[in-house]
Amino acid sequence: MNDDEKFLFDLEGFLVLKQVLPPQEVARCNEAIDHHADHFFETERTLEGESKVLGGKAKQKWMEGMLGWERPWCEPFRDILVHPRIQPYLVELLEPGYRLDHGPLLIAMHKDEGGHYFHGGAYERQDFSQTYVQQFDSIQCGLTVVEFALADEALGDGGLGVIPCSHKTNFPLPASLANYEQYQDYIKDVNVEAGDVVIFTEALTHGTLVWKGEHQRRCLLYKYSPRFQYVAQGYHQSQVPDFMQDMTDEQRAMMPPA
Amino acid sequence: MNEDEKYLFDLNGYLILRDVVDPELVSRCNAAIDHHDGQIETAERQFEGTSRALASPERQRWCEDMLAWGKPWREGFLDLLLLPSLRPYLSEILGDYRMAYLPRLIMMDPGCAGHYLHGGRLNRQTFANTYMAKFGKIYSSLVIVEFPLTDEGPGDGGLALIPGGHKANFPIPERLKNYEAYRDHVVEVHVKPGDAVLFNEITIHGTLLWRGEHQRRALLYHYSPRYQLSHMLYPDVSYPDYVADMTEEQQAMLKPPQG
Repeated sequence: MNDDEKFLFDLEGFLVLKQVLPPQEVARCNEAIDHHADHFFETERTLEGESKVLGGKAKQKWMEGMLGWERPWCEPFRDILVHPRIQPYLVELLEPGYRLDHGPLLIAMHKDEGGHYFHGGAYERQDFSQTYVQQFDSIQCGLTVVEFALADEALGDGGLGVIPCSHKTNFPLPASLANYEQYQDYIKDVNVEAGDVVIFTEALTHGTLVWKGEHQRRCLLYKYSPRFQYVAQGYHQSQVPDFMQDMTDEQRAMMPPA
Repeated sequence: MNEDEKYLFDLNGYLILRDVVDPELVSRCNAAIDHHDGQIETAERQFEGTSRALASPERQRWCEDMLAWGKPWREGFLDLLLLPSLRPYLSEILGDYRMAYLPRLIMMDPGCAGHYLHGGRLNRQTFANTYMAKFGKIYSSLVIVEFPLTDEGPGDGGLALIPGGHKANFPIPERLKNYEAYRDHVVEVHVKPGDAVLFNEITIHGTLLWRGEHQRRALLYHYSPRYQLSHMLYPDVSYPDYVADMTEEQQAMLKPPQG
């Protein structure tokens, strides 16, 4: 991460990296997804929240579990997990030893499928698990998102939207802005081509605009945390020590999680 | 935690709470320690570092096995872990919190060596161990609660803190770290059994040579926000079968925190 990129990431809270995945890698991912098309699901969550404009005509579709698919389908997603072009950025933002917190998650949207209300912001993400801090000449992030575009997101298509610089806000996000019902000029519709990557701190206010593209939008989200933090459970299971077996629930709740 | 206490904790990086532990609970802990005294070994680390002022051939003894002592001996230490009088303070400082390390007992016989002063922002630059205040709220990564099980009076030594050290922006001078200069800036903490001292791990702290005539006993409980882990308490970890098919580099991404 060069000094210009550090400046820009600190300034705006996100960075677009062009052509990280060559076309053949994008194709491998999409082919694997197509092969597992029956794995698409709709989340039960109301992603548009109370927004009157982000609901769309139908819900967006999600897919998970790619790391566990049989070969060769799992391979592009496992390769992306440790992409050599992304690693230096995550080392800079999260320090060595960072870990996958959760994901990968595929978001797929057909035309007019609904978006996600805008969420995040420094005021809303105050604790260390998802915040952004700059001190002693270094950037320190909690949860950090790496979004790989598997399809073009051009001007006017919708898709990923961010509020630049919102990772440093000091006041609450107005509801009308969170709902994309007012102050739309402050939201940047992020335009990328298939193979590009957007890295952003979870503290950046971000959301998804209703998809207006003629083709299906596809993006892969990998979310990373510093080695000492977690937001989600993760892939592991730990065996707790014997002496915890006969603790009360209240006592066990005070112990580190398994 | 009232507004005065928030102010003072933010100002100094620590807070002394008086008479928060029932004498009966203190007695139970001491009795359990007495029962296991023969099993508590001398700590191998050179806690005094390069300090001549804190050095002594008499060594500290540490124990972190109390929760594994079984009933009834462990119960007092579990009761301290959940002490109701501390909850409002820990919740205010840490949010949703839990234990970060196993409870630690420090035992120091008369003349015992201390521990060089350590902490400060420059030595604790990541979220793993930091302190911030923003939007009128305190955020700390690691808070220590020290429960004295014996008196620590004026001139005894024991726990030492540098008020404001949690906000230091420059490296701690070596001679201060070693308690060989600037001693006016170091507070020797005076407490009785039943008291508790709350301080951030990042607050500069250490242990002075023990000059009391009795054995010093102090219990240290470390607490973190629930989403942070200071070290791996559970080394036995398993993964879905397909993870074995991944490269080492890929597997490393799926490790648990501090794994």
